[in-house]
Amino acid sequence: MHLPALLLILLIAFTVALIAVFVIRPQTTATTAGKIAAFLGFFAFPLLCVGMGFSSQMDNSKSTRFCLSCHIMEPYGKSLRIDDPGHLPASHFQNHRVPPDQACYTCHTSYAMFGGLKAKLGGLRHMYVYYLGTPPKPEEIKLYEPYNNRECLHCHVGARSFEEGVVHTADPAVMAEIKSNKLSCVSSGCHETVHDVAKLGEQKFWKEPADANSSDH
Amino acid sequence: MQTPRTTEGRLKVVGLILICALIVEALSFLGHGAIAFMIFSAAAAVLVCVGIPAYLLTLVRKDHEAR
Repeated sequence: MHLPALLLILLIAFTVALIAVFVIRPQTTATTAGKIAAFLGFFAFPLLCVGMGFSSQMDNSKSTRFCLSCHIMEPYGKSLRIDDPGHLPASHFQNHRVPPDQACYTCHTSYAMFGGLKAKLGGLRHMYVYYLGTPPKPEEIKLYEPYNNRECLHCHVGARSFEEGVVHTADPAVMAEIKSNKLSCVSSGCHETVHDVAKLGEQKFWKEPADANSSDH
Repeated sequence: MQTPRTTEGRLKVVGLILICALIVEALSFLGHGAIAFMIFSAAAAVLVCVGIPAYLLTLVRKDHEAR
């Protein structure tokens, strides 16, 4: 358990103990010190616990393990281990071009104003559909809107491999079109193989070494 | 269930609500998936959101009754 989580658990335990004193002996609140302690126990500490808890849950919701906790996402998690560098998510995940413990969030958040908030609202919508609606089959899942190059360029713009890439620089118009999102990075003929979950059965998979430093999923 | 009439009785009810909320919150940290998040937001956060105003209301009523 991480230190902030441990501190939070200790704060929760302390608050529960403090409240329990007032539940067992409510007359303790008669004194000034008792009133102050009651205010802390009934108001300040619970508010702090929920605030810290919310922050911790929000952080956790960025983790790969969180995204893959729904069965419907399992094929997508599996596609990160396809042993083929032509598969875009797999090559990013396996070569740590994205943090392996936040692989889904890194590519599927929007790097614009309120992008993180938008991603989290999208996540809530996913949970609603998963638990209360009719979830589609994994291979039928589609993005709400076409993938924006902005998310790729957040990391790749300025990188030599991108800026001086043979295909990217073959025609001066191409780079401008990529950067203005007119030509999608994942369009046909470019980096088109993304989460090909319908053909997972035909793929070979990479086995992560046991001592690899990415045991968070 | 009868509504508690005394301040002490109300404090006990509020205390129990908050204790439940905090225990549920602590339990939600055992999981790492979407269910843990749902338990946190649908149970723990909601109970705290009920418990804290109920405590403040108890204080206001106590003050009102004292007058």
